[in-house]
Amino acid sequence: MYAETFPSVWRTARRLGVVESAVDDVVQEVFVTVYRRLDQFEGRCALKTWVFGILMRVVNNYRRTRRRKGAGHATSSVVGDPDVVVDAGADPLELASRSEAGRILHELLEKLDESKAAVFVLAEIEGMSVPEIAEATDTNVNTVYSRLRAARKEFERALKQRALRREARDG
Amino acid sequence: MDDLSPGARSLLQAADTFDDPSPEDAARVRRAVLTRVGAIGLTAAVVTAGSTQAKAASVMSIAAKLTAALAVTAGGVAATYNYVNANHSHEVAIMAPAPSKAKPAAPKLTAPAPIVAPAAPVAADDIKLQEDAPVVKSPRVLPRPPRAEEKTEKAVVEPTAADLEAEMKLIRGADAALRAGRANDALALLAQHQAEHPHASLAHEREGLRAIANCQLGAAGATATAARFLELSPHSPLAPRLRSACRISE
Repeated sequence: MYAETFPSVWRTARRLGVVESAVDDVVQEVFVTVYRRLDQFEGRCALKTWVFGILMRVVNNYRRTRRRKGAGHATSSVVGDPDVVVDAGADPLELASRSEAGRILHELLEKLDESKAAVFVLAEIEGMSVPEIAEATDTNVNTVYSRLRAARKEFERALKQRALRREARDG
Repeated sequence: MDDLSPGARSLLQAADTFDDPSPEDAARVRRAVLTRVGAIGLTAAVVTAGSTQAKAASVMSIAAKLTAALAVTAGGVAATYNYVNANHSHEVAIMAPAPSKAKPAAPKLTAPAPIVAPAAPVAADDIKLQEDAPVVKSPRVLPRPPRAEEKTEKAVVEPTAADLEAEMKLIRGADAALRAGRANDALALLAQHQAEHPHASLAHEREGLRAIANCQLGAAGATATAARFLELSPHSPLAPRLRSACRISE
C-alpha cells in the first residue's frame, strides 16, 4: 500500500504547494495518520481516495501553519525560468524539457487559489474522478465540478498570458 | 465540462514525472514513518483488536500490508536500536526489519478504483502537523552502498496478514499476562514472539512490554533498559506504564 500510494502522495503534496524542505514531514505525517486511523477505514471508498483525504487535511494544516508563522501564501519554491516559453497553441513538448515543464506547471498552479488548485491536480494530474475528489476534499460533487471548470479556465488563461508575456518581451 | 487545450495537456504530460520522488525519498520517509509508527503501534494493535471480526480482518490485511511495506525498506532500516537486555546479555533489535535490496518506486496509479460510498470522514482538527506531533527528522542522506555480504542477501521478508495476526496474538497475550501480574508468563510469550518472528512488525511493542516485565520482576539493569526505551520512544503508548513499573519520573 505504501509503495503504491507514496509516489502520488509525494507528487501531489509538492503540486499543492508544499515546499521541498517540508515535503518529507508532510508525507510522513500522512502515512503516520493512515496507520493511526486504519481502524476507521471502512472500505466504502478506494483506499487511495481515503489516503488522499488525509493528505488534503495535512496539506491544509501545513498551509495554516505557514500562514500563522508569516510565511504567506504557500509556494512550491520552484522558480520559473523566464526564458522558457509555452505557447498554448503549440506543443509545449517541443519547447520545454521535462524539468522546464515541471517548473512552468508549478508556476501556473500557484496562480490558482488553493481549492481550485487541489481539484485541478487531483483531476487532471492524478486522474481521480469527481466523486473521488469530492470524497477526498470533503466537498459536494457539484462544488467540485464548478471548481474544476473554473480551474481549467484559469489554468488556460495563465498559460496564454505567459506566452503573451514572452511574445511581448521578444518583440 | 470544458476540457483542457492540447497545449495544456501537453504541458501536463511533459511535467508528469517532474515531481516524482526518488527511491531514496521513499526509503527515507519510510524509515521515518516506521520509527514513528513503532511508537504508536501497540495502540493501533489494541484498537484493531477491539474492532468487529470482519472489520478487523480487513484492517488487519491493510495494516499488515502497510507495516510490511514500511518494514521492508530500500537499503535497510537505519533506525535499528540496540538494547542490551540485562537478563539475556545480548543485543535485541528494536523495530529491526532485515536489510533488504532497494525496491524501485511503484508506477504511477492511473486507474483509480471506483468509489462506492463515502468513507468515514476524518476530522480536520484531529490531524495536527509538526507543532504537536513528534515529527522524526529524516536527514537527506543517501543510503550507503551495501557491503559485499549484503549484496548476496536475496531474501526480502514481507510479513503477511497472518504473520501480523500471529504476532498480535503473542503480544496481546504477553500484555494480558503483565496486567494480571504474571511477568514470567509475559516474558515467555515475548521470547516466543522473538523466536518466531525475527523480522517482527511489533518488535517495538515486544521490547516495551519486556522492559515492563523485567521491572516488575526487579531484574538487574531493568530500569536502565527502560530508561533507554523511553529516551528513544518518549511518546510510546507504553511510556506511562513503563515509567510506573520502573519508577522512572517524567
